[in-house]
Amino acid sequence: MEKLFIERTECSPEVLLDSDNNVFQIIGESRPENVRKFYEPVFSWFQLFYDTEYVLNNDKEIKLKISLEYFNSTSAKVLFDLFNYFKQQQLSYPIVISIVWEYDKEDVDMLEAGKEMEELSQIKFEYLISE
Amino acid sequence: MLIENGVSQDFFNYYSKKDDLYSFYGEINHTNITLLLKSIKEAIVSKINKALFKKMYTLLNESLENIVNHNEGQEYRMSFINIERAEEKLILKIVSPIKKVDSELLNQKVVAIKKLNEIELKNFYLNSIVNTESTKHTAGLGLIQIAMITKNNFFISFRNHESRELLYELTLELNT
Repeated sequence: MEKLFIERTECSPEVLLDSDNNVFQIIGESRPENVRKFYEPVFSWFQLFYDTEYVLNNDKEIKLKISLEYFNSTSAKVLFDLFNYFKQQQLSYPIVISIVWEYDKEDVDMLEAGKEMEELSQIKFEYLISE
Repeated sequence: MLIENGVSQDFFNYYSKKDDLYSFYGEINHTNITLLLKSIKEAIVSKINKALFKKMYTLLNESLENIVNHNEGQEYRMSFINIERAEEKLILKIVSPIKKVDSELLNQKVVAIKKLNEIELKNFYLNSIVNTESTKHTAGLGLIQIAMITKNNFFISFRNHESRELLYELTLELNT
């Protein structure tokens, strides 16, 4: 399956979704001008990923790394939508996506934001302190 | 404070004489927000601790995005930003023209948010994330976040500006 790569800018994160190499990550700062539009390819890629893996009859468990220094309130909404989408897809596909939430050790607000997302979306989160 | 004509530049003229952390007067659009945040980071990041800077960064971005969203499609909206340190606080002031029709809605939202305590604010924020329809902007979420970070120490006022507009003054207080 073709990977999705979106280059990082000063206001939007790098996105790399590469199933061949098992790398799934969103890294940087998330406050693009149109947040919904920015994340549309991410939703589309995952839908194709679910369909492809399903056809191949693969049970799969993958980890999506979210490593954001900052995300605005609209991004918070869209990230929740993405995590909630993963939760919903688990009902139809044998693919489990969990989140690795990376944060700076001094940024307790970012850790708390991850805990909130975990509670709201009810998908599995792991927490990783960035180096 | 003497603000004679009630335009953003008057604020800048007044504040630029003071020895504050940061002052800006000019147009604000999405591209400028990135430049402004970068310039504010360079000016301030070494003067306050990392956690406080992050809170300030969030407040500024949400406030500025709010202004840009209100002024979408309109050009040359001159605004003013000031950041000052006062005893155990950082005080952020953002002044910008706003349509009268938007000011009423904004005022209603602020009055509703100001009635909430810390726990209610948090619940309101989380409920809004779950239940708000996802569009280009999520109206209101940023304002709730501002209220949470400032512990409801944020204040808005409106001054007469032009026939269809008011000058919106947002003051945010962040304990250091």
